Amino acid sequence: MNDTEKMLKKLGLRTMFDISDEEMPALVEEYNIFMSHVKALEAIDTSNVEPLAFPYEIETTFLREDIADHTISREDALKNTKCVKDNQIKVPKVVI
Amino acid sequence: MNFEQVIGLEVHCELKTHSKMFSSSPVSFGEEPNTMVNEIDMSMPGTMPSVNKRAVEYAIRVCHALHMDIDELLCFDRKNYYYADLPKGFQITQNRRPIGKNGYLDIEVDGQKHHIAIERLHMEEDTCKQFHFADYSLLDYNRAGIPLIEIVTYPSIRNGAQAAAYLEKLRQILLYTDVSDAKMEEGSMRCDVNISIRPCGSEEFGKRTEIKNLNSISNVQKAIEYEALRQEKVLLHGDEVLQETRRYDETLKKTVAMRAKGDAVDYKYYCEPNILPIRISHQWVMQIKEDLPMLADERAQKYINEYGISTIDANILVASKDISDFFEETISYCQEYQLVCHWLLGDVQAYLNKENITINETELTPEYLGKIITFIQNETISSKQAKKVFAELMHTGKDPEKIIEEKGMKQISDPDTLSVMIHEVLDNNEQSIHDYKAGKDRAVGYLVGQIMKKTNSQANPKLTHELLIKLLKERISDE
Repeated sequence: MNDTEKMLKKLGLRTMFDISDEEMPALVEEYNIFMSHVKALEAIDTSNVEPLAFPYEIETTFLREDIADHTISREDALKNTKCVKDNQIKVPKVVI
Repeated sequence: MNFEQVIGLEVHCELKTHSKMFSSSPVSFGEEPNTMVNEIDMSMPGTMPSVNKRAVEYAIRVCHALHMDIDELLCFDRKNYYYADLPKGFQITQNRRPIGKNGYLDIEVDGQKHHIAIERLHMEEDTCKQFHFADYSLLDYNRAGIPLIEIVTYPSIRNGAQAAAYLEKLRQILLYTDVSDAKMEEGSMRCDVNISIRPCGSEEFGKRTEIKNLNSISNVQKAIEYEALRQEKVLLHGDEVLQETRRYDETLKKTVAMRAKGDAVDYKYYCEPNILPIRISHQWVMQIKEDLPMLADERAQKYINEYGISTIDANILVASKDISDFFEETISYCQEYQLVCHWLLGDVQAYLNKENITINETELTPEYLGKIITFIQNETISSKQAKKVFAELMHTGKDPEKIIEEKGMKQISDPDTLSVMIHEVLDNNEQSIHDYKAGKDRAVGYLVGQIMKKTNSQANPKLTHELLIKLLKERISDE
């Protein structure tokens, strides 16, 4: 396994994909094509160009009125939760 | 070697809006867990945030009060971090363009004025409340999404006392602009401290530590004082101060290391793609400035200049917004400014201290206090009786007028009625008249006492005294 393959394997595992040996050649090819595009982009001089965050350079003026008028039921709020205790979501303790 | 402290403060403050920063679920406290949320707060797929107008208005109010430059283009950013306190995996905040920049707050410590420079004020959303147990944590998302403003000073604070004075003044501004209840002990106002020390005269900054978990202004001061000394000891010992996050342990009264700053995550800020830049009108920003409620300093000046209240009393009145508001409302019923002030800072404050409650938790209303003072002024009751009426009012919540009527406290201020009674007392106390004639002033006190007894303490004391002397003199000259 060369360096690119090792990196792709590692990135795959980090994102929950176990890339098989059969899948690897196609992925490496795609990766190389992608990186050549990136090289082409890197050749463009972007100094003095503001980063673009939105496809349209527009401003809006809308602000929502401060009215509290919508909640969902606790059952719905907790529906996706694996573990509930005392109507709260139970998670492993991590203090930061 | 002498060291100088270099301190910067970051204050988070929850805004008392009806709905959340980016969703229309209610802002609430003490409700059942996970009931005050909707799809946006729980980051369900496909939901889009929308910015709360009132939260923006409140942020602008505080910007004005702190003399800041206001950015009229609202831009939001994503702060990416993976932690369960926000289900999205990021917090929406303002990183590149805070709504307010370059403000200041002037404070006074021991008669010396200090100018505290403020770098920025930005809007963001609060995280969920976590309850940590031995090996797990429970999450209540009711708090997630409550509007927050964060106010960051430049490192322009030099000691704990200045930090405390700044926080007191900032808290006063948050209360007087009516944007937050700013209770540190309940977490609606939170403060993180950045502190380093350097040899006096040095321009370079030392390595700094950050102190979190400070739940009162006095703890902020104590934590700073402890931490500055700790850093000094480290340096004098020839060691290096580590860049780390510490917390203040209230029981141990010292700061304790939480984590090394080297572990700090890269938040990978980028422009929030779900909120386009929002242009707010200059006219609206100016209107908010014009409508800004009167702040504590201005109120104190008004009390001194217009109501003739002493500087000391005026400052005590405005120190608590509750008391100041109560004062303002009371004087709409009774224009005896100094008496109202005297009552509020005297009997009322003593009662509040004794019961350990705030004025809004009592039975007293501005109208009732105004009535008591008016009754003293028009001599319906004596000052002594007023204290009794006050005690009864605080106990029962009854209208002072009713209390006076029920207790038969109304003063006898009619000279004719009083004269008849005084004559009766004199008729029965011949000896006292002789004593008075012999120059024994004691006799007057005794006779007043008798009259009071006869009238059930309802006789107007001042008038009684005047009439008694007059009638005594008449009797002596008649003899």
